[in-house]
Amino acid sequence: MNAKIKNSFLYSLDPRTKMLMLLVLIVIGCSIMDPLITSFMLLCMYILYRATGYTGKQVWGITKPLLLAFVLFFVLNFPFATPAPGEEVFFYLIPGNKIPVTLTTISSGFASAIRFVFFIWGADLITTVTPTGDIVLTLNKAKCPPEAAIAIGIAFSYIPVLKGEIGNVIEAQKSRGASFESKNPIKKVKAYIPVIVPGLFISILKGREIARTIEARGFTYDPTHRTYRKDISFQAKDIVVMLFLVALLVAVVYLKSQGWFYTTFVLDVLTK
Amino acid sequence: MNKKQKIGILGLIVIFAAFIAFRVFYQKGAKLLADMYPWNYVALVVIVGLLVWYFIWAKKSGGKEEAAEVTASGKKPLLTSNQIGLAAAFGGAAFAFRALGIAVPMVPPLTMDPGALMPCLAGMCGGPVVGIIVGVARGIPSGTPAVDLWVQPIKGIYWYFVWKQIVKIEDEKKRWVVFAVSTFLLQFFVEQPLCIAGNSLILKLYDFYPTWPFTLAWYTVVYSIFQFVVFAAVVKAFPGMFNWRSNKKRKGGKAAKN
Amino acid sequence: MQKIIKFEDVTYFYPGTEVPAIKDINLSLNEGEIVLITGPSGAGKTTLCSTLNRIVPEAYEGKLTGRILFWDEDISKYSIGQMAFKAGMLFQDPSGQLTNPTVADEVAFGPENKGMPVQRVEELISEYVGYVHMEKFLERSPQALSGGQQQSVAYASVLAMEPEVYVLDEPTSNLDPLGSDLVFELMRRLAAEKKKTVVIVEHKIEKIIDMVDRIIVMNKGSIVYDGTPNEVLIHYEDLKKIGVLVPQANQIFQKMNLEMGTNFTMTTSFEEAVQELHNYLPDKLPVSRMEEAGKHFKKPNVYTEPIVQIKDLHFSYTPEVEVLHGINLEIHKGEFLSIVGRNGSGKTTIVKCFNGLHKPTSGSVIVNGMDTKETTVAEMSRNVGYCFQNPDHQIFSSVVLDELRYGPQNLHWDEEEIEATVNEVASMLVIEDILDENPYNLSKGQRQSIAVASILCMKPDVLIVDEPTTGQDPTQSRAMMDMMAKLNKELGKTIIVITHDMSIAAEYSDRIVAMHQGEVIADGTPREVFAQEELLHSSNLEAPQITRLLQHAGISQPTVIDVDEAFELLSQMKL
Repeated sequence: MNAKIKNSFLYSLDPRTKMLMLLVLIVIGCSIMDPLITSFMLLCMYILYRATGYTGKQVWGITKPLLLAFVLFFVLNFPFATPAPGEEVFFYLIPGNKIPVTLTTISSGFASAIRFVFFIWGADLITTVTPTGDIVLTLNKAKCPPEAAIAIGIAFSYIPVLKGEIGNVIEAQKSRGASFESKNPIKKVKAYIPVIVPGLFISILKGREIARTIEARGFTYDPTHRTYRKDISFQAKDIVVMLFLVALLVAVVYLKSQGWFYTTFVLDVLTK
Repeated sequence: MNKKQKIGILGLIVIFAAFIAFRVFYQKGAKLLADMYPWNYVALVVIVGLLVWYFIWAKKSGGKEEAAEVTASGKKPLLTSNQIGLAAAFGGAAFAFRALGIAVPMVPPLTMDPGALMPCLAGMCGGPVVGIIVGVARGIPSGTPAVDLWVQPIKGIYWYFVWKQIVKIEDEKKRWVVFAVSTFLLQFFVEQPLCIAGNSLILKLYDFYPTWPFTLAWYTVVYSIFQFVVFAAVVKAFPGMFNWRSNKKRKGGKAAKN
Repeated sequence: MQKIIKFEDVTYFYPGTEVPAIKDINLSLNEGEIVLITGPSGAGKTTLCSTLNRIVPEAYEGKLTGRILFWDEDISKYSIGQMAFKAGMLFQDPSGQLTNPTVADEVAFGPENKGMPVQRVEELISEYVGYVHMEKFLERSPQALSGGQQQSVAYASVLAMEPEVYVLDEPTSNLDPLGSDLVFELMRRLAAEKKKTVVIVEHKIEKIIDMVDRIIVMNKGSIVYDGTPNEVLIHYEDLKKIGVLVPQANQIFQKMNLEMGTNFTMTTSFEEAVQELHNYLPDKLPVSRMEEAGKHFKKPNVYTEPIVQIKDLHFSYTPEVEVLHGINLEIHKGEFLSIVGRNGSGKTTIVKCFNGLHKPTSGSVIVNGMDTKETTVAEMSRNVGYCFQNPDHQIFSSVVLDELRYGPQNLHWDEEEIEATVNEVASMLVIEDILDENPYNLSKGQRQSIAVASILCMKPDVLIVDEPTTGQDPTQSRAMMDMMAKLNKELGKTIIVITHDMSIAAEYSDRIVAMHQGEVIADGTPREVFAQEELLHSSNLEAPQITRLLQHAGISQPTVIDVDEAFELLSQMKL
């Protein structure tokens, strides 16, 4: 993680504020059906990324694998969306007046696809700017059992170790002539079994090492009364941000209940 | 009532609550048992079946508590250190696989990701709490935590209960068949509907029907095959870890040493 | 000195085993004593250490009989959590014992677990991170550090718990020489400054023999020797038989005393040994007799037909950082070559260029006429086999036979050829009787044999062996190296070993290539390379102890590489 991200405003917020932010983003994302507004939300998210220290290239790197998902969610939606009453049908996808293509159905497809990218961006940004230790502290504050919180914390800390080990497994199997290039999913699954099984074995062994280590460091002494050196506490900026988020949430929910943000909302407002 | 029975009851309540919520919110205020679609009947059959099986199991199980070291304050810990270690390692592995690009693309972005199997395997060999923790660890940094944070732990829980029954089957061939069929049924009737329900009802990404059971049915079938192939390879490699008894006679074993 | 720990008739069985891991242990450790426990793998050293903090038997269950007393108090009434603060333990694998996101969190973990006040925890972090000189890395992820640095952090986390007894279980086993030296230095400081009881399990005896008060040698669960270093090390022949390597300085002095009637004083200090030898040598060395003796030293085989040709090889992982800087090297058919260097020198990177795992950024690597840039890794595997350090990185099948068949199947051989090859290799490595077994039920040594066999089944001409000695005891290391020597002599395989164990390199290699910071700094026979002491020292390498002993005492030519040669040479002195 670069220094710019670590020094960003978002990084400095309390993890509970960030979780509220994620929740609000999800609720707002689910409430807004208009693709134009969803696109605007995506733009706001992009600005937030840049303000946090991400480069455009990094954001593109996160987005590129999602492009096919974009198409998938469009396809999963637009054929089944219901056109608005009396709306002009551009054409039918299947002869016999089946699956009408209208502005509403197209908008619905796009809205869903853009919404998916919006959720991924939101989740990615929030988890990147939330250090592992903060996640554990948040779980503790939420009265999560310390064993569970520590297990989750160690899981995140251990990702690089396991990545290195499983990376070695991939190299070892490649050195035995294994190829993972096949496009055939069946062949690919068969090819990956010699990576998954040793990967799991190594994970199991590492699990035992972790168990011995936490015992040797006295974790089982009295987990419920252990000290937490770091603490998370709300600062003024957290309160301000949370108030803003709550206000935004309330506004969106209220307006939604008044019939706003349907699929062709902006176009209808502009044309009326 | 012991801890496992309490967890079982909680699981049943959650499933039933989900069914009611689905009927009321998705099917727009329908009366609970009126105007049911075919899959509503299927869901009801599954729920009632689980209820009956639970009562039979609860009656049979002796409620033997797993011994755990008592802490300095006299409390029994939620997890033993071995379980903590297993949960941490499997949770990390769930992401390590994905970070290394080990995912079999079907029709991108639909992939078969071994990391998604970790909560199931964790539940199978470590217990429901380990399965929950690995599921939560998998859900937190997921792209859709609003769905994964509850679906993944649920996978860990039900695979624990199902696996406990599967390994009780004496005949190994029959056990394999039941294992394979269970994998498919759980994938088609539990995991996929849960994921699709989450994506459709919470995230509004698409409609629940006909995504389930039709549009993505092919993906579900292929995924369950992938899942079984991986599960089978793991169980064959580490039978002791999964309480899998083999009928094959060995010449003379040594305990696995490191 | 008061007895802090007492073992009374302690025996322990792991669950499901019939042979005890430790048997009838009666032992007392004194307060402030520095004790070295050594012995072959499986001797019971780790089991014995793990009883001190109750990991054995609490975590493993099993059956423990007898009593273990801590300040005359039976520890069976304490939990693991409580004993952790009386007997702090450092493990072998550095990265495996780091479970926290930052260095500061790692050091704080133990004190936090005890419920210490936050201010006290901060004080302990400050004190012990400073003690191990890791202040600059306070907020770094421990997983991003080098092996030696990781072990230093783990060490600090044990120190911060301020236990009464420190148990260091093979702390340098997985480290390179630089990392090992870092940890040994910390152990020296601990012994000198803290005056605590320290129990060290180690195979690298020569590195710490000068700071221990007592050596306990274990074999097959029992204590076979227990005494001061001088008392124990005189039994070097018996110790060698059970797989304990006495420092070469002690070996040569013992041998000289026994066979030449000399009167060398056994010492644990290298400097004193040098002085002792220097005092023995005549003022004028018998150069001609020494040269004559040198002519009978083992001469490495010379090979000329190239099999791997590296021309101006450059390699970078990222565009900004080049790792290999224009390497030119030729490896010959039938050669037994060792590539030595500290971690980060580029030795693993270069060998991964041989089988195509890494493609050169510029320059070329030609193996048996095949350019690695134009050839896939799968195709290269027909010529170059790579045995990874950890056999568990390769093994995936539930049947050994399938493991051996995997490589040839990937190469699309026909069934008859696969069967014939598998049978031949299984016979050669004596693993026919375990072909139907589940590899995960076998010992690590057997899994190592299976991993090597699976590579051999692909019939490569070149075999790369990655750090076969790291994390192994001397017996296991030699077993692996003997297997490689057999393949080299009997099948004519070109063997390339990556190691930082110079004694092993000296004993088995025809040729040594030393690397430092992505460049080859020395290339020649073991004798030629060890003669360049300053060059080796500048790259944190050192020749075997026996070589350095004679060099420092004043004998630079001929260069000796093992104890037998040293004996031959020294026996010429008083003739």
